[in-house]
Amino acid sequence: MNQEQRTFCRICEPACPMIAEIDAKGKVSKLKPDPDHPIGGNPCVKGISFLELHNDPDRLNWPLKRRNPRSEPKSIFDRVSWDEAIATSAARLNEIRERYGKDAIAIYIGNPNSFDSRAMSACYYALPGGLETKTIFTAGTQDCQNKVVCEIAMYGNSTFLVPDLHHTNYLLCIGANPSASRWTWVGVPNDGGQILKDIRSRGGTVLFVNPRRIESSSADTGETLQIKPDTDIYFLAALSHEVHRLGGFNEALLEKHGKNVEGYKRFISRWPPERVADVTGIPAARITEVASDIMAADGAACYLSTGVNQGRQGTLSFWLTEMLNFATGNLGREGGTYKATGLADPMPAPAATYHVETPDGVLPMMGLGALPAVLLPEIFEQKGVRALICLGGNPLLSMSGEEKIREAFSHLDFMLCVDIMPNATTELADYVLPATDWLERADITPFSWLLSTQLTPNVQYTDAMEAPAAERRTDWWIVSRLLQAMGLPSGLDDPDHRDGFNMIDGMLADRGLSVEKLKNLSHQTAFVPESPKESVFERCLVHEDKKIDCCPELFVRTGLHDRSEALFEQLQREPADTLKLISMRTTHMHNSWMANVPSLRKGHLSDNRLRMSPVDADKRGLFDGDQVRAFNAYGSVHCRIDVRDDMREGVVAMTHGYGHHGAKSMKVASSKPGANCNRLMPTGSKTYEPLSYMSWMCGVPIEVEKLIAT
Amino acid sequence: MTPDRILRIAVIGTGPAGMYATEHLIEDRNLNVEVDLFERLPTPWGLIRGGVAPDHPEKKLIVERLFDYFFKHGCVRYFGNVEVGVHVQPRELARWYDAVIYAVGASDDVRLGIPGEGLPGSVSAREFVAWYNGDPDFSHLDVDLSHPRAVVVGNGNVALDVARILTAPVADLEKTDITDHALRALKASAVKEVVILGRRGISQAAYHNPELEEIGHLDGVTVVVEGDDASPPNVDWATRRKLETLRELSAQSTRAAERRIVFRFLCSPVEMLGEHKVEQLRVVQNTLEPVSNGTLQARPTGKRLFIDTGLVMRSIGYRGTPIPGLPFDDALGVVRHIEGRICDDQGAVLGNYVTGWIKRGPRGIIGTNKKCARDTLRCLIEDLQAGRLTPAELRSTEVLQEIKARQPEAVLRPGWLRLDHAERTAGRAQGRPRVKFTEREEQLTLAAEG
Repeated sequence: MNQEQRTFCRICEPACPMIAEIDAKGKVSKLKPDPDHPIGGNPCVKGISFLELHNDPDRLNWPLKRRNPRSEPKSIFDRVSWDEAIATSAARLNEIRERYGKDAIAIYIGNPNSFDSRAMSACYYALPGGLETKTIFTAGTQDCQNKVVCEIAMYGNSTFLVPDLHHTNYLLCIGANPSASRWTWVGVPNDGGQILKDIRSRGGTVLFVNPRRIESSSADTGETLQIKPDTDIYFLAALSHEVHRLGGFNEALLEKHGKNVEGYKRFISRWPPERVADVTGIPAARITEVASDIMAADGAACYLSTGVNQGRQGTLSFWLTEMLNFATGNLGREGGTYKATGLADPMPAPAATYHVETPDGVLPMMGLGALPAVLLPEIFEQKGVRALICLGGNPLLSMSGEEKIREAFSHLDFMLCVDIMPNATTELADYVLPATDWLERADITPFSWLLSTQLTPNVQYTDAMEAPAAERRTDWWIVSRLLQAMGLPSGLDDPDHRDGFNMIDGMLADRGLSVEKLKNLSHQTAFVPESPKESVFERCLVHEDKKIDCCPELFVRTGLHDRSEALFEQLQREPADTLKLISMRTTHMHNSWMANVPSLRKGHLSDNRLRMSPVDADKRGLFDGDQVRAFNAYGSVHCRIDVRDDMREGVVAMTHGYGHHGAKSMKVASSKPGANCNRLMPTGSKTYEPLSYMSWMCGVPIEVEKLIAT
Repeated sequence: MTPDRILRIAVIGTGPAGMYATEHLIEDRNLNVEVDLFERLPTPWGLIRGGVAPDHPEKKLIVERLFDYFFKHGCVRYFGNVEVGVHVQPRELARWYDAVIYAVGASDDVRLGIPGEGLPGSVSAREFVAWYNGDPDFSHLDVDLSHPRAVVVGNGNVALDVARILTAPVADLEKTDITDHALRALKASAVKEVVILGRRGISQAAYHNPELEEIGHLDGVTVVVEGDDASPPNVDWATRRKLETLRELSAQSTRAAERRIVFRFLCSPVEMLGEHKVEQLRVVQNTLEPVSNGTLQARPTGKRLFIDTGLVMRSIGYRGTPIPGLPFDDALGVVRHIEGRICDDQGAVLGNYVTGWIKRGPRGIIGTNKKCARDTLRCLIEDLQAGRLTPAELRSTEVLQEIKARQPEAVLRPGWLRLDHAERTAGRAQGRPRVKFTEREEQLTLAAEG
C-alpha cells in the first residue's frame, strides 16, 4: 500500500501543491495534484513529469573528477569521494585566490537555486560573500535583472509589487503568457487561467500586448494587441502620454509620494501616439483608446514580464509600467498594484552599489550585482579569471556566445560545477558535484514567499519525499562544505546549523513561525495576513526621503534616455521585410530543466521549431515542417518551420532549452538536441542593456533560408 | 541485450500502424535500429492520407506532430512505390533484414453477398474514399452521381464520412485537400438524398457521437430518422448520447434544406436491381431478437421495400488481403499470428511480425495502433534477446541497390518531399492545405529530381 505525502512543486513560482505517492521501499512512485490544498493550484505537466527527471538514469550520482585534460573535447570522468572532491577543489581555489586575487574566481548562478530556500542564500549570499569576488554572473541577466535595477532606482530597493488580479477591472499584460509560464514575479496558483477569466466575468478587461496571439488570450480572457517586437517602451510611453493628456494622472498622489515628476512628464511628452504608431505597429487611436479604458476602470493594473525584459529596453519599459500604475493612482489601491506580504516585507536595506572595471568601462553594480553575461569571455580575459564555480547553471547554452564561452572556459585553471544533470557545461569541468533534486530535500516555499509576491500569502513546509539517491547532497551543504574547506565562513560551522534550517527558522521567526510549527499545521501551510494595499507607501519606499523617484537620474546618466531615441531612429530605418526572432514559452519546457525527460522530447517536441506566420512562410515559399537555416551576424541554427497564424507578420518565435549536442551524458537531450536559439542572440561589447546588463534575447533580426531536404 | 548490434528492420506500410512501430523502434533507448519503410504507393501515411476525410484536417495533425519526425529521422529510409509481393518477396525481406514488420492494413472490404452487387453503380465506400482522397489506383473509379438518391449500407463512421462528403456544400470542400476530380464530380452531383441503412436498431448504430454531431454542422442538410424511433431503456451512456444527438438533429428545422440524410434503421439490402446499372435496391425490414450472448440480432420480417437509387455503397467493414508467401486467416481476414508473431502450422515464422489492421482486423482509431505496435515489438525484443533473430544478410547499401534494380521508379524520401512540396505549393495558390496529384505517372514525375 502506497503512502501519500504532501509536497509542492519547485520548478516555477506558484509552488503548486502536490501529493507524492511513496511505495513500500520509500521511493516516490507517483506525483499528482493535491485537490484539497487550501491555496489551490494544479501542477502542470512539467511538475507531474518531474518524476521522470527524478528517476532519470543519466543523473549525476557521485562526485566526478575529470581524468583527461580539459583541452580534449571528449571528457572522461572518474568517481571520487566527497572528501577528495571538496579538499582538492578548496585547495585549488585557495591557491588561485591567493595568487591571482579574489576576483580571479568567477561564479555563475543558475536559475534552480531560486527554487530552493536554503540554496538561495548559500549561492547568492554566502558564497560570493565568503569568496569576496565581484566576478559574478547569474541567469538573472537573461530574464529579469532590469526589474531589479529599476526598482532600486525608483523605490530604493527591490519591491516586487504585484497586480491585484483578484480585484482589478483592467489588466494590461505585456510580454507575458501566464497560460504557458504560470506568471512570474507574481505568485498565482496554477488555476487554468481562471483568475483572468474572472476579470472578464466581473465586467473587467484583460488586454495582452505581445507580437504573438498567445495561449492566454481567448474569448474568455481578452484579446492580444499584436505589437512589433522590442517596441513596448514606445507603446508604454505613448500610452502614458495619452493618460496624461486626458487628465488621468492623480497629481495629488504624485505630489505626495513622488519626486522628479517633471522629468517623467518630459520623457513621455516626447512620445505622442502618432509618433510611435508605425514603429510599434499599433494605431494611434488604439493607444488612446487603451488609455481611456485604463482611466475609466475602477482599479487597473499594468503588468510586464519576460518578453519585454529580454528586449533592449526592459529597464525603461518597466519604469514606465510602474509609473503608469503610480501616476494613475492605481498604486496601493484595490484592483491596482500593491505590496503583498511575505518574508521580504519590508525589504531589508539595499546592498551598496559597487563598481567593476570591464572592457566596456566601469560598470555600476546594483542589488545582487550580476555582470553582463554576454560579456563573460571578455571579462574573463581582462580580469584574468582563473577559476569558475558554476552552481545549477548551464551558461554554455543558456545565453548567447556558446563558442566564445567554451573557449573562455578552456583557458581556466580550474572549473567546478554543481548540478543534478551532466549538462554541456559540466562536461567541461574539473570536478562535478551531484546535487539533490527537490523531491530529495526538505524546503519551505521558496521564491514567491521569500520575495513576497503571492496574491494569497502563505508559506508551506515539505519534507524530503525520498532520501537522496547515491551520494547526492543538497546545494546548501555543498556550498557550505566548500567554504568550510577553504577556511571561509560557512553555515556548517554553526553547531546548530541543522543543514541550514536554523537560518530558515531565523527567517520565519519574524512571522512567529518556525519549521516545527509549520510541520504541525494543516497542509504544513501557514497563511499570513494581508497588509492594507495603501501600506505600500510606508513599507516599500526606502530612499532617504521616502519618495518614489519618478525619473531616476541614473537612467539619464547611464544613457538609457538617449538610447531610447537612438533605437527609435534605428527601428524607423529598419527595412520593412526584417524578420525578428522572439522568445516563446511552452507548456513542456522550463529553461533547460526538462530536456532529458523522454515524454517531453517526443515527436514535434524533439525539435525547437521556428514558428512563422503564414504570410512570411508564403513569401519565402516555405511550408510547415521544412528544414531551414536561421542565421544572422551572431550565428546560425538549423531547424524546422512551424507555420502558425498566431504570429504577427515579420515575427518568428522559438523556445529555449534546446541545443544539447555537447551533453553526451544526457542521452535523450543529446540524441534530440534541437536548435539552440541563443546562438542567434547578440553577444559581446555593448550588445546588452546598460545598467541592467540584460542580454538582448527578444526581437533580434534574423534571416531564414530553406535547406534542401534529403 | 546487445545494444551495440545495429538491428535492421523493414516496416511494410507507412500508415499509423507502421509509423507507430517505427516510433517505438527509434525511441527505444536500448535498441540501435535502422528502419526501412516500404510503401506500395509513392506517397506515405496510409489511411491518414487515403482514409481520413478531407474535412477532418485535425485528424491528420498526427503526421506533422509525430510521424514526420520519424519519417525524417537519420536512421529511417523510405522506399515508396515498392510493393511487397510484386517487387520484393517476403522471404527475401526476411533474409535482408533482422526483422520485418507487416503493417499493411486492410486493402479490401466485406461484400454484401447479394444479387446484383456486381452492377455498375454498386461500389464500396472504401473505394469511394480512396477516390476522393487521391489513391492513384482509384482515380478513375466510376462514381455515378446522376441519380438524386444514394444509399450507403452500414452505419459506422466511414458511412457517415461518405454521407457527409456527398451532401456537404461544395464551397466547404473546396477549402480542403479533397481531389479535384471528386470536386468536379460533386459540383455536378444530382444527389439530394443519402439513405444510410442500418440492419439493426437506432440503439445499435456503430457510428460515434462526434461524427454524428458533425452532420448537424452541414449547411443546408436536414436529417430524417426512419424505421426505428424506439427509446429503449437501460442503454449505456455512450448510446444515450448518440440517441440524444440524433433526436436533436432530426428535430432541427427543415427550412431551405437542399439535401437530406435519412437514417433508416432495421433494414437490410436484399438485391440490387437494374438493366445495365443499379436502378433500385430491394431491402427487407428487420426486427430485433435477443441471442444467447445477450446482444440483439436483426431478423428479417419478410416485409420488403424498394428504394430507387443510382448508387449503392457498401460500408460494412474493411478486410485484409493475403500477402503472398505469408500464412493468412481467411475467416478473420488477417495474417495468422500469435501476439504479433506471424505463425504458420509449424509455429512462429521467426523474424516476421504484424501490427495494425492486418494483425487485429479493421477496428479502432488511429491511436489504437500505438499500443498494438508496442505489443508486437515486445515480442520482437523478446526474440532478439533470446537470440532468435537471424542477422540481416544484406548491408543497407546493398538493400538500396536491390530496390533500385527491381523498381527503378522507387520513390525515396527526397522524392516524396518534392512531391509533397509540389502539392502544398499548388494548394497555397488556392487557399487549400494541398492539391493532391492523383495519377501515379504525375506523382513520379514530380518526385523525380530536377
